[in-house]
Parts: sequence; C-alpha cells; structure tokens
Amino acid sequence: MVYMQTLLYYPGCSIKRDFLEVEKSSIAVLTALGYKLVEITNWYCCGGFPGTTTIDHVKYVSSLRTFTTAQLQARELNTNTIITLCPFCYNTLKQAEQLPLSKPEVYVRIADYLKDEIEPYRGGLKVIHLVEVLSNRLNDIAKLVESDLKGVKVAAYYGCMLLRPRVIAIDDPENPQVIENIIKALGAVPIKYPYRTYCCGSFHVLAEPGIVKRNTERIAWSIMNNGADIVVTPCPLCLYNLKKYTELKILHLSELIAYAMNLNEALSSEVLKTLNSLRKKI
Amino acid sequence: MVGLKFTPRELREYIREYTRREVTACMQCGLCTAVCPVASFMDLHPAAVIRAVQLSDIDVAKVKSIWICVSCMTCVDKCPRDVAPGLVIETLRQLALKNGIEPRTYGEILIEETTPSILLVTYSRKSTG
Repeated sequence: MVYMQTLLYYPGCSIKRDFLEVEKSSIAVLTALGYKLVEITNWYCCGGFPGTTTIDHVKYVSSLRTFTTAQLQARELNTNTIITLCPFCYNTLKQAEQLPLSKPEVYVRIADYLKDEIEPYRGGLKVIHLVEVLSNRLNDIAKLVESDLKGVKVAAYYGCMLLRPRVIAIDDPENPQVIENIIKALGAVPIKYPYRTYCCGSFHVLAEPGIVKRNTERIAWSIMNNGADIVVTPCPLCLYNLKKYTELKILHLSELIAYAMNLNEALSSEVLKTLNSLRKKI
Repeated sequence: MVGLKFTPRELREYIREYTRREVTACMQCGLCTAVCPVASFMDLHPAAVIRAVQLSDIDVAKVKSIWICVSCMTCVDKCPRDVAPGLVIETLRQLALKNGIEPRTYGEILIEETTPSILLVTYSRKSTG
C-alpha cells in the first residue's frame, strides 16, 4: 500500500496486561490500513482518570511525563501523533494535551515538577484514538473487506470515555455516529438503541458490583430488544463488565473489523467461534 | 488541611475556586438526576447535592453520593446552567479524602484473577484526593 504513516503507540496498562488480543487485532487492522505503530519506549501509566478539579492537578503529571519522552521519539520518526487503543488512556492523555490552553496556570505548575526530565515538553503532540483513525479511512476499510457481513445487525456501544467531557469528544456526545459509520463500511447494519452512551458502572465492579450489574443489564436489555446479532465496543473495560454480567455476544470493535478484513490469524479462537456462528445464521 | 466546617459562603467559594463553576446558578431543573446512571444508588441525588451545597446543608463525612458518582460526565455535559454537578461532587469527594474520610480500605474490594489493571488504577485514583 502506498499510504504509510508512522504513529507513536501508547498501549497503557490494561492493553498490555489483560487485553493482549485487543492489541493484536487492532494492530493487524491498522497495519492493513498502512500504519506503522512504534511503541513509546518509556511510557508511564496515564492514571486512568484525568484531574477534574483544579486541586488535583498532580494527576496530569504522569501523562505529561510520557509526552516529554514521546517527543524525543516523535522528532526522530517525524510524526506528532500518539495513538491509544484504550478510551481511558485517550481521555486522560487528551486532557493533558489540552492542558496548556485549558488550564495554563495548572500546566505551569506541572511543567515545574517536570524540570528534571531529559528536556521540557515543548508541546505539539496530538493524541488520537483508534476509532478516530478508522473513521477517517472508511473508504479504504470498505475496500479491504473480504468476509461478507451483509445483513448482520451490529450494536455499537460507546461507553463514556470517548465522548465526555465534550471538549475531548471524538464525536457528538449526544448522538455519536463514528462507530455506526465503520459498521456500515464493513457492510453490516448498525442498529439504533437508546443506551449507546450509558455508563456501564466502570470501577464500581470492585466495590459496588450491584451498580454495574444493574447498568449492564439495562444496556443488554436495550440491545436485545432492538434485535442486534452482536455488540461491538471500543472500550476494554466496558467489554469486561458487559461480559461479566450479561449474556451478550460482545467483541472489541477491532475484532469485528479484523474478521471482516479476513485477518483471522489476529483473532482468538473464542472470537472466531462467535463470529462464525453469526455467519451461519445468515 | 481543609477543615470540614464551612459557612454557606465559604463552601460555595471553595467549590467555585476548584471547579470554576457557580452552584448558585442551579435552578433545580433535575436534568442531572434524570441522566445520572447511578442516581438510584445515591442517598442524595445530584440535583439534591447541588441544593444542599447552595444551602450549605451538607456533611461530606456522611453523604454517600460522593462515593457512588463514577465521573461519567453525563450531567456535566447536559447541565443547562453549566453548574456541572459531577465536578461539584468530585470536589466534595476530594474534600472528604483530604480530611481522612474513606468509604472503605483496599482490603475490602473484590479482586479476582481476571480483574483488569485499569479497574485497580481508576479505583485507586478515585480513592485519593
């Protein structure tokens, strides 16, 4: 393929420890689309949640520290883009990216903490999420589709972290369409249902599992009532919670795309089984 | 250390300083409570938290809602007066943590072999001020 772009890759804790299959399928899809991913050599955990008030400015330190090391590589590779697969990392890093403009006085304080790094952060790095990259390449995705998903009804479940707060949203937080557009590019049918952006309960699975159980059941009920064959989500944590408490057939978005592009070697046998059962139904 | 005793004016000032939002703008339309995915698990629903802050009739040592909010930011996005209840609740949560009030210790959370590390990271971040 002529199109070739190098992206700095920020994996984050869970992709590297618990969701290796998500990394595998995502990288396979991105490689097929002509992207070269170079992992940031010294990345630090983003921290999972950005600082929301002005007292917790210290929560931006690890993200900005990652930027200081990433910019060395960015210069070497002649790129300015950091890609994340995890929506939590995206949300946190994106808010850190915007910090010099959104909260300049907080940024000045953190820059002061980071004085002892190899060099100060000079700005200019851009954080994007996998879904954004894919939604800009719909025609190329459609060209690469080999397996027929015609007539398969796919529900897109967005979760919170890619859409809220509005300043970092990858699409309209009220009525996002990006994943639906990708589903259409694959030849499948996106279904509409009201709980697409409803919170699954997130970390409460550790301490208040009743909340996650109730919320995931609501989401599942809404999806089933609207006749979906399968659900895709861009968020590994939503994937974990929905798998834990519901009977939904749910995949990471990249897994459906990899399957449509016939990149089966990048998929686990469990995912392949789910997807093949879907095809028999048609 | 920030004390827990505030006059109504001091509490509103404190929240204004840390959220850059104005709680007195709230007109109690209740949209935040309507869109909140966890409101039914709270003792004071989001709109009631804002009302309690307006009246400074809130005890952060007792109110459970601050530990239930998941920071999904739905209410922050929808609020027609930009009061952003989610950020106000976040400030109250940090106020409680800074005063040594914690809902539970790490020993009490449910960790399984398959628990993804992102859960532990986000949980611990929500448990630190």
